[in-house]
Amino acid sequence: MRKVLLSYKTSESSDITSLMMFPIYQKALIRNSVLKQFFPSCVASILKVTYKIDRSKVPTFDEKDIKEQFVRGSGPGGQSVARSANQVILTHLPTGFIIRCHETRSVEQNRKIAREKLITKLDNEINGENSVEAQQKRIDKKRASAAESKRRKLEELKRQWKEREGLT
Amino acid sequence: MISKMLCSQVLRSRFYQSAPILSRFYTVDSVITEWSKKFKEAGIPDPESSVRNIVAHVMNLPKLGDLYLKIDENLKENQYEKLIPLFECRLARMPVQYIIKEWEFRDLRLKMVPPVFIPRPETEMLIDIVMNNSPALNSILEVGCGSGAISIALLRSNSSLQSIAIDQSEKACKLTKENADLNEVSRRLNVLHAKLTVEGGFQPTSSEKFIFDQKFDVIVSNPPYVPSSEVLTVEPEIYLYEDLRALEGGKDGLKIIKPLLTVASKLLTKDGLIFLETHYHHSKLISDWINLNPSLNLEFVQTFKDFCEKDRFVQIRKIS
Repeated sequence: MRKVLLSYKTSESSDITSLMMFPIYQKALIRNSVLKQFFPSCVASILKVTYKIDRSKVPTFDEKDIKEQFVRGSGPGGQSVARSANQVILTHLPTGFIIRCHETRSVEQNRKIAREKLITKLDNEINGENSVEAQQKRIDKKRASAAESKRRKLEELKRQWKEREGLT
Repeated sequence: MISKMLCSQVLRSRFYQSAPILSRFYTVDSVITEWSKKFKEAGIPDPESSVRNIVAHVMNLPKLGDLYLKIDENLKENQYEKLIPLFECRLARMPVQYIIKEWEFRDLRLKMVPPVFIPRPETEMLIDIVMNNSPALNSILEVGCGSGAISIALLRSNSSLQSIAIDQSEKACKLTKENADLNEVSRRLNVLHAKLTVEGGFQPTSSEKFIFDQKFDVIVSNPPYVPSSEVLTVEPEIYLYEDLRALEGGKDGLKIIKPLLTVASKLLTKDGLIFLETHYHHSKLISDWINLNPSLNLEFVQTFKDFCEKDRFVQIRKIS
């Protein structure tokens, strides 16, 4: 057990090692550190609550419904044109949504990303609260508030311990 | 006397005001606006995208889109100092790809070295066309590999594929090898330095000799196809910095394509396929030429359009 404790101290972040000072945490921490060594994936699933995103409502669009514009414009194209502007502009004709994409230096990649962006935009418009982005936001919020309450609890425990030991 | 004092005071105050602004407080946004304007006035094509690409390169951003997140940040002094000579290269019409020494081809990051031909965005579609239209795909021959973009992208999308890439330029061969190393496909790519002959064969330009004892399922190429008359009208970026041998296809643009098809008919397996990028009015000329030369045992299959809706790629099959 001592060995485990030592290796745990050296390998983990100082924040967790400092918790070893509290008797109430010792047992749980040692158990976790042992578990972590032998079943890393198992502990991760215990510690993290997984949230599921419902993607069944995500809309699709017809390629015929979109107009695509490129900066290359008219002219011969191909080998006789050396340009660096690889922006893609997508217009979704039924809704009139316009997506501009200049994320990468490759036209092919920009076309892919622009289509993904269009789907996100349509999803947000049609599904509102149930869109993937809204769901993700809610999950992030939940995670953040869970982390915050955990932090508060720890702080409270630390304060109580300090009071008990007469450190303040 | 008074005027002289005033003058020096004004100068001094101006100097003290402007000195720190010049050296320390250049935001990304202000640099982009200022230099885009300068480029526009100098008649440089794609002014804003040129500036953005160079700034993103100097700031070491992995993606061009990350620049939008950093738009209000201040540039560090050493970054600003690095930018200026690069901007001056652009004013001398050097292609951005050579200035930042790298470019993206699909999801690949490729090194660029002048005068090796810069892969064009149209060519990115050729990879999907080859992947979707080849029933058997084990060995590939690429003729005129340049920076190696096509071969490397194909090898990346099929992990059991083996490829041989040939180029007449030693610099292109070296760059293809480097890019294959960078993208971890060098074990499956063999680069040969050889020149396509008019009769339809390969002549090794270096001392190493090779004989093709194998046949290929697919031959792919982005051969020089620009007609000579059109080469005269290309932008200075191309005629000053790129190797024109990678573009010029003779009077009708078919100077290299004809011997290439002759070679292909010798090196393809039965039902093997040829995929070429061509000029947008070549597909008819090529299919006519194949019909005029039945001894080649080739058959024109179909034409594909590029993203600008121009006929850009042709597929040809070896019959027997």
